[in-house]
Amino acid sequence: MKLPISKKNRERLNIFLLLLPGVGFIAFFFISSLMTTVIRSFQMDGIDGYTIANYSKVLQPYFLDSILYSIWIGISSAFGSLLFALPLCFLMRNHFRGKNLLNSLIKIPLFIPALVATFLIVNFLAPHGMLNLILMRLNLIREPLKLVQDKYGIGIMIIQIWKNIPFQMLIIMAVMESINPALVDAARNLGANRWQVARHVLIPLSMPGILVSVILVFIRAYGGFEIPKLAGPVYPIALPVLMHTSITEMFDWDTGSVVGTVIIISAMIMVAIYTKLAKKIQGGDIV
Amino acid sequence: MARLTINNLVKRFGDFTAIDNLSLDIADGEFITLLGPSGCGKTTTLRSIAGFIEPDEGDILFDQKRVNDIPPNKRSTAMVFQSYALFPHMTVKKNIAFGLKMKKVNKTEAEKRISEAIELVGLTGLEGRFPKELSGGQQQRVAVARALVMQPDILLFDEPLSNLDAKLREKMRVEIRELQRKLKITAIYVTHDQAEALVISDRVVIMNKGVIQQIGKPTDVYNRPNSAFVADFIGTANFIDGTVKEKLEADTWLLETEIGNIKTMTEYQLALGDQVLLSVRPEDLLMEKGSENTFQGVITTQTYMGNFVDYHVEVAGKSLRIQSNGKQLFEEGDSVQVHFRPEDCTIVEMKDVNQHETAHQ
Repeated sequence: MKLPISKKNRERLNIFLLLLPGVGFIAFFFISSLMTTVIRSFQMDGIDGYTIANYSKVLQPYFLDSILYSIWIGISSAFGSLLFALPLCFLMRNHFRGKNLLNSLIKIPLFIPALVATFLIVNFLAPHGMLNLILMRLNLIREPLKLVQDKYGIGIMIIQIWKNIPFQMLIIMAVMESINPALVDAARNLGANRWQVARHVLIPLSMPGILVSVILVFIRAYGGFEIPKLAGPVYPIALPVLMHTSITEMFDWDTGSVVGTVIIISAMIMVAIYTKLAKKIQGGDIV
Repeated sequence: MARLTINNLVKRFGDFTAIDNLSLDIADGEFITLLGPSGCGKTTTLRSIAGFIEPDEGDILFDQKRVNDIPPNKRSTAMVFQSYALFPHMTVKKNIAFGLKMKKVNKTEAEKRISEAIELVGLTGLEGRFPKELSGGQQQRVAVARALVMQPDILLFDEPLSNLDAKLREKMRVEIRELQRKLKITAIYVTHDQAEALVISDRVVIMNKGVIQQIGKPTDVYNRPNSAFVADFIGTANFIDGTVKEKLEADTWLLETEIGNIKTMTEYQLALGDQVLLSVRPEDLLMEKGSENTFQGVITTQTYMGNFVDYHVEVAGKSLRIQSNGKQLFEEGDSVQVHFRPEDCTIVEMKDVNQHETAHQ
């Protein structure tokens, strides 16, 4: 059977049909569920129509504390793991004995589910966990250190960093490997020592990768649930934990959707910042 | 400015010997080209001089001072890379200023040197551009300026023109040569392009398989190649096998060859019966009757190239390549006289293989 449409339109139809399974899936489940959350945040139980009343909760101290706490977790995890990932990336540029072994060891956290990792590390860091016992045996401390369920989020940070170092390394190393090795030679030839090569050539040229990795880890840590749930304190609680508690324990869908929307919007803001910065870097304005 | 001495340099990569006991002495202000096919060790030698490669054996000396243990950033060399290796995130000016910044040259001095370098290579007005906004030739100039601004003892060039088109390449190689003459900086230039090597250098070092085959002025290596490899690599050559038949004068010999008797001039001490390989350049073969070394041949192919005509002429069953200017055009099938002067045929190899090999066994 021949459809009564022009060749051009038939091509368009073909492309549309080809894209439908993939794009359709994303459009349906991704966008629709996001929209549902956002729309739900403008509705209130027992009230018809739309309202912004739910958002008054955002201004309440517990909610503000949650936002700040989550931002703190996000930033400290993102830059904390960068502190380890970046030097490791430089190390991996060199050839040395045991490089392959180290390379596989570093990647282990990628393959261990966050939940499992959290349990293991929480046990290790707990007041009567291995770390505190050892430190007390060595007479380095008198009282156990509060490293988990603490209000500074140290436990969360440690787990996030552990989990995200290989993740950041994968992204940064991919970018670093695309840097022409002659640039490093050129810099050395022009008098740069190893540190200056890193500072003036490798880091600036890896900046797109560093930026992506920082933002992705920020979003993972900011929106992550298991780790703050298990390793976080009773107060303040991270936004995803607040959302989970509101919905499953308080059956408070109003608050739940507001938290969800706040997380989505924050993520979008981060993406916008990233796009802005990336453009600047590519234009050569930064560095 | 410095004199560069390389003594017995050896570099191996696994089982592969990239440089095999190489020694070289380069005078202050001299322009030297390392020429050879890929894998001959020329780039490895250059990178060893720059300090990127640690040689396994041997010494590298700048002005008689051993530099083997000095890291690349402390050696006074400046290199122009094949890929230019311009920093893509820096403007032209920042690229050129980079080395001065690393060496902490004071601001006013740096500014002066940068503007001089920019003017010298003709980049005035482009200081604020990024490398990707420049043409290949302009990028090349930035790379040269970035090296010159360092006022290095030794300038290193790693096939710097191979990414440019033919016209620009010819222009740039003359410019590089003139700059070097003006600044009198010792320069080492790596290339696989024999024409480039002949145009640009004071002396050419021809390398093969990690070993120096011949060192000499461009005219020497072209007119008096010391081996079949050199004769073949620099320009084109007709190779003719022959046996020494008679000594005519102190340096003039008569050889019996596959195309007939040939009179040749050589500094080599020959003995009657020695087997030798002769090389004659295609442009030295003349299609006219001469007083000596004249042979009868038939043209098998003729290719018109504009500034010259490329012929293949069959002489006594052997095909000879002849290049002549296109003033007198012959056709395929024409019968011609082929002639060359005794001084234009060079003995490139002593081939009395039988004697030598048995002597070694």
